[in-house]
Amino acid sequence: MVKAFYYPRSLNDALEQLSENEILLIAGGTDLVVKTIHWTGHMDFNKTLMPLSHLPALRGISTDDTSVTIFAATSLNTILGHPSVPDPIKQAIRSIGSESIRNLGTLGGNICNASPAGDSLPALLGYDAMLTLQSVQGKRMVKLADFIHAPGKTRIRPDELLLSVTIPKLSYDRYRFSKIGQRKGCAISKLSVFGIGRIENGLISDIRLSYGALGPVPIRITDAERFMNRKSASEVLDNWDIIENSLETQLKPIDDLRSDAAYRLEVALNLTKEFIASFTHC
Amino acid sequence: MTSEISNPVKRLDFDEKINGSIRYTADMELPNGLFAKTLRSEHAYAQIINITTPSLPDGYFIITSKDIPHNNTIPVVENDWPIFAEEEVHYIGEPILLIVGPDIQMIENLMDQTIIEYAPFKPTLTLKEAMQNPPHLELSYTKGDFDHTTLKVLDKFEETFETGLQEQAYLETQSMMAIYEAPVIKVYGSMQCPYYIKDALQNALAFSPENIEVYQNPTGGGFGGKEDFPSVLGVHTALAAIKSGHPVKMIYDRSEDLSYTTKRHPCKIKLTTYFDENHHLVAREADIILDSGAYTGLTNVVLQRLSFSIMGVYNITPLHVSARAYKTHKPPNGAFRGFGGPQAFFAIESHMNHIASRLGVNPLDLRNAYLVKQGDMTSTEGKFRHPVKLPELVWRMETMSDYRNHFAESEEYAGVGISLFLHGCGFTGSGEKELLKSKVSLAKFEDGTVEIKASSTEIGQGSLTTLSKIVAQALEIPIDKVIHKLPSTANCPDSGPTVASRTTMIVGKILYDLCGEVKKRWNEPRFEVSAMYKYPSDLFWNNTELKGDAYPEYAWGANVVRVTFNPVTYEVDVKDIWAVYDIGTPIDSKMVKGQIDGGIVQGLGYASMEEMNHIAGKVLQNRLSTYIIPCSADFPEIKSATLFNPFEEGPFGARGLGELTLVGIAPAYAAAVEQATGVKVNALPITPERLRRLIHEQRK
Ligand SMILES: Cc1cc2nc3c(=O)[nH]c(=O)nc-3n(C[C@H](O)[C@H](O)[C@H](O)COP(=O)(O)OP(=O)(O)OC[C@H]3O[C@@H](n4cnc5c(N)ncnc54)[C@H](O)[C@@H]3O)c2cc1C
Repeated sequence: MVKAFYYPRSLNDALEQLSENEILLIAGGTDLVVKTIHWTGHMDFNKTLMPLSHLPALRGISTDDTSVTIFAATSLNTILGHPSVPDPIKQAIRSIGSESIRNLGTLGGNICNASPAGDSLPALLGYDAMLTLQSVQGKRMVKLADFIHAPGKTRIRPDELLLSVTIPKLSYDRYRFSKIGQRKGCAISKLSVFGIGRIENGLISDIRLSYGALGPVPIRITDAERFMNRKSASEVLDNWDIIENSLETQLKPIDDLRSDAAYRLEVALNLTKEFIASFTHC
Repeated sequence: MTSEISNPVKRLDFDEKINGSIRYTADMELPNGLFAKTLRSEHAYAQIINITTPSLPDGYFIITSKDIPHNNTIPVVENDWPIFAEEEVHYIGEPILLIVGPDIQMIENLMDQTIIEYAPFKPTLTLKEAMQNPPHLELSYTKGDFDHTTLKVLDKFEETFETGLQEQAYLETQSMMAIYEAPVIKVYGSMQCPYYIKDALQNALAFSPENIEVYQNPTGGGFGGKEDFPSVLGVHTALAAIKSGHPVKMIYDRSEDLSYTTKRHPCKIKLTTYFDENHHLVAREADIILDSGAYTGLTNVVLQRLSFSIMGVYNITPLHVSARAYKTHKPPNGAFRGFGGPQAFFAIESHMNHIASRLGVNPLDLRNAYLVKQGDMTSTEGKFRHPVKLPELVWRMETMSDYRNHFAESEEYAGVGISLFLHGCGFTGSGEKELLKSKVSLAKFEDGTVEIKASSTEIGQGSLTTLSKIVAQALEIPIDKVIHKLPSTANCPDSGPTVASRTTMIVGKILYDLCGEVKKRWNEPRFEVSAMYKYPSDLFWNNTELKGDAYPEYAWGANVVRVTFNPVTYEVDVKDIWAVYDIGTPIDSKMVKGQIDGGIVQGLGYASMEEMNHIAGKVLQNRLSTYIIPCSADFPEIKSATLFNPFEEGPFGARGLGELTLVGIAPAYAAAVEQATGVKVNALPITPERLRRLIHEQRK
């Protein structure tokens, strides 16, 4: 049963509530409602529920020369419609749910839900996205990579909310987001691979590789990236066993109802290889 | 060529379903109503030692087996399925008692406070374990002269096929409500077979038949899942209404429905084909094993249909079939569109492909050499009495799909598969004649309207409209002069259950014939006439020998599926789907298309993604986010056609259709995947994970 419901009039009002009471935040509700609804139609919350999606301070997208900032309660479809959001991020967001889910669901919700299968996360990790958390005491910035530390677990404090996500503008020559679900639409990822990089003098440069839905948290594999930079694609492919080793030890794929570890690992490797091979044609 | 009756009309239930005004059971207000929730076993197999119930607030009730005035059984075919577990539980989720009351939150609390003590036994969970004991059902039959000693010297090819559970995944979960107005109990809900529920109520309550009324509410899909199972909710709500004196409603939530209601039977089929020295297929043997779950339910009828379908559309005689079903400590399995057909055709059609590849012949050429013809024996030595247009069906399919070119010139990672299949229309064996004895009535009123009275239900397939169309056309009156409402046992005679692809062909035919009488008496202001199904006199069935005409008639189909395979992700992409059917005259081309598209997609779900497993007797995929059914993005538009081959004993020439569209698509898909990947696939569903394993195993 909803214990109490508090409808904040402003961001400050919301922050004050957070500092004083035990609050459960709800944005689009597309994760929260599904998780908590009972056969009775009731939802079991032991905290006060506070909606965020109506607060102007939490909505919208702003840009400057070096970055794009998406406010947390901006709907996924709004993000898709914005010209400044980089295409690689859009490709990932477009793969989420269905039209109606993307109308309700928010980027902040996808991040704070901290699901291993959150489809915006590999792309945001690849972009080194920075999160701005806010409480009555002020703002603090956290790297997305440090924010999610276990399935469903983040480093947000109970008195904080996620204000915005800042994505640096990257130049790139190649990118790809591959989402493998159990069906083609409205599917939860059983694995996903995000890659982005540049080509300089025929060599791979500033490559980023991140993976979703394989292990407990979405993860970027920086040592594989370092190995690849300033090498040609064919040189990387010739030394593929090194990459394979690095991915195998770090991805920690799991067996669950959606897939099995062996499939996840092999397909993640295949997709990575395919992405690297795309650097040869330049 | 088409018939006038095939021209599509607006469905009678179109507006209310499109504008959302239709009210399903869950939407209905029940003044003074109570809710009922089932408390279920947590053990797969255990003795119930003790039940401690909390003290109940005013207005709350607990219903157990002690409240059943008569038999504690759900009568299906055998009476082994209890309404409530009494001394022992036989699967996780078996109903033990109900908690009934006005507030659903309170019901949940009371459920938490109810303590059941069990003494667990070692459960039988897999078919393999179950097979250490004798089967609870067994059948065998032989077509022709099957002589083991002469066959022993021949070359043979033997292989085994496996299929798993499939969930019907109707949009509306199981829901029912009951109102007791002494001495009459009235049950309303989502159902396929009102008279089955009436039988179940009579068996449990021992009320006289006139005091039991069952009404169909708008029903959001059934697919067989609302054939036998709604009897459970029917009896549960009735017992609760009688004890409490209030109307009672019971709505399963999705997880409860996925976990504990009946599913398609998992199956294992071993096929052996014998060859002579010229590589002709001269004999065949089938050994079939089904997992019944904890209780028999409809298993023996599924076992029969599966066994009788295993000859496929081929005259390969002799044929020897033996089949067994075993009980396991899991929820009872039951009816699902196709009723054994999908398992049989996956096995037989895949086996034909594998034989073709062994012999190095085209899969279609192999099939063409053995097609049954009119006058040939059916599997049970009955007769295909009516024109069998398989050559025409194959020709239509070839020209439509260009199958041979696709097969011969298949590129790397692309493949095409074909399947030919049949489906017996109507009840198995002499069911139509001896069990059902279907009856319908037509009432004519002063204003020139005519009302159809039949217990056949509208479950989304369009039967309200099709039957109205048949009557309107037969009487030559506009369709808006035909009244056809959702049925009830109070107002409609028993026209049999809405199952087995029988409604249009059999119930439609009785109505059609009855229209002749109505026409003769048309000038009378008001009257009602009834008629019963006339079992064709040239049919015979011997139920002990399993010999004769297992079905009154057969419908036929051919499917071709073309796929590509992604070796990076092991995913299969369906590129084209073609389907041709001989269903006699389509009664409404648009509704026929609906059945084709829906049946094929449901069958492709079975073939490619729908997977349900139990661990320690507990279902794993208990939500629609883990039990995955296809969505519109998964498959391309289906190109389909029907042959012109009116069935002289059907209304306007119609045969059965509903199940046919599901039964043959899985083997066509499997064959296409086999060509695209180069591996042999003998089990469903063919998920990317399974394909990956097969590719690694078979490339070793
Ligand atoms: C049918 C369906 C399909 C889906 N498909 C996908 C898919 O393909 N890919 C995918 O990644 N996800 C999918 N989802 C999950 C979900 O839609 C997304 O994760 C979405 O982005 C969640 O956003 P929301 O605003 O609805 O989150 P909510 O449900 O409102 O919130 C989720 C969590 O985040 C917290 N939260 C929300 N906003 C803030 C904030 N500003 N500060 C702090 N905490 C906050 C909430 O307290 C809650 O714990 C699907 C869901 C459904 C129902």
